[in-house]
Amino acid sequence: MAIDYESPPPKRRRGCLSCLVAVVGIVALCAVVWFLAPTVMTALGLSSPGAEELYSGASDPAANQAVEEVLVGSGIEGASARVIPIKGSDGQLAVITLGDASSIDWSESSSVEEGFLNTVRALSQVNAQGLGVERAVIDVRGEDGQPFIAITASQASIDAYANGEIDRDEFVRSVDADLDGLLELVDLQVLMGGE
Amino acid sequence: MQATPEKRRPALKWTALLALLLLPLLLTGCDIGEAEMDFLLDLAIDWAISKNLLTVEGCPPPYDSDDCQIGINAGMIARWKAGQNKWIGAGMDTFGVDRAPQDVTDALDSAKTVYDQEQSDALAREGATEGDLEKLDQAIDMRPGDWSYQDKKGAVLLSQGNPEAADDAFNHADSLVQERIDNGESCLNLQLNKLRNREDALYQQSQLHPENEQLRNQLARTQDQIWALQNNHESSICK
Repeated sequence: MAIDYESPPPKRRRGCLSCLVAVVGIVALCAVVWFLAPTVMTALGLSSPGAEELYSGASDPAANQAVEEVLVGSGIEGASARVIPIKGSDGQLAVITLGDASSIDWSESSSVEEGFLNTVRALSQVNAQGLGVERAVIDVRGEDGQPFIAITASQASIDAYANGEIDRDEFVRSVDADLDGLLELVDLQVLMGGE
Repeated sequence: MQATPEKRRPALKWTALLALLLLPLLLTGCDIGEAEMDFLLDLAIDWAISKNLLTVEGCPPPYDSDDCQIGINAGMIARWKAGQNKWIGAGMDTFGVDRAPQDVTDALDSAKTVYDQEQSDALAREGATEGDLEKLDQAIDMRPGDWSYQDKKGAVLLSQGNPEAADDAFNHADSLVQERIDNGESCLNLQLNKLRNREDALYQQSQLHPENEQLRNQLARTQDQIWALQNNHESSICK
């Protein structure tokens, strides 16, 4: 039986063009993922669009005024308030700014602690009138008028403290702060040397 | 040493600590009474201890015994300084690094947004007072999602006898708000917000141009819409 020693037909070599197309395809895919990832992550709720976008809407003049009146009534004068709708949410953010013109005087209350509690209660009550605030921020300005320190608490913990469901310590623990502006001024060596 | 009846912090090496905790309040020039300042200092110390910024040894809460040794957790502060901790959060992730919920970091970042908004608000206010559309457009460029600037622009255009362009601006404000309502936000809150901003803008222009009937009519229509929304009457705005 004769054996056919004919060599098999030569494989067709893929040309450089195929490689190039593959490389371009991969690069294009990476670029699409790179550009779309933030949008997709945001849409899926896995990433935040950032404060600028979240608070891009106008603040509500009536809500601003209501919060400012409550502050004045509870011993905090010269503070400005902005109640800003949070994009993508039914809730609002209340930002209370304390600057040069602000003052705190709780002497009308039986004690300063009572004055503090009355302020928290007043903020809780004004929100119960339908403002829909989810979180409050105290924005403390430096002497140059720029944001210096920010302190925040959820409306839930404000309400809980106002209603006596949590004590002062628990309320304080629920507070978060951004101290970037302050820490820029702190010399760590001096701080450690002070110990 | 005789104990005082008030809650009293033990003697500490406070110089650095005071600088850390009180600097913000001192720098703002806020007018704060002595008792209020003492109370706020107490709050700040409690907070710093709860967040592990300060360390306490030798005494239980409320940390007011003379046996208390309170010190500064320099390691934590060094991590901040290195940019690892932008904020003081409630927990740590599996790598031992503090992580705040996203809504907390966004809220803390809002201070910067509010500062920027103050700058564009000032520009828009000037534009509205002076009837300067260029300034209003600059404010709009700075915060394109803020419908109150479109309403200010609409009111100014109406005061200048250009109702068609005013309608364009008011429609733009409407579409900015409607887009958010379509994405699930509260129709009532957003529409009231928009209409109150529009009312303010129209009222200001009608004070500057009391003879302008179009301004007065538009102001009256806006106030009717606010009244209808607030009183839960059948409103074509939020069905």
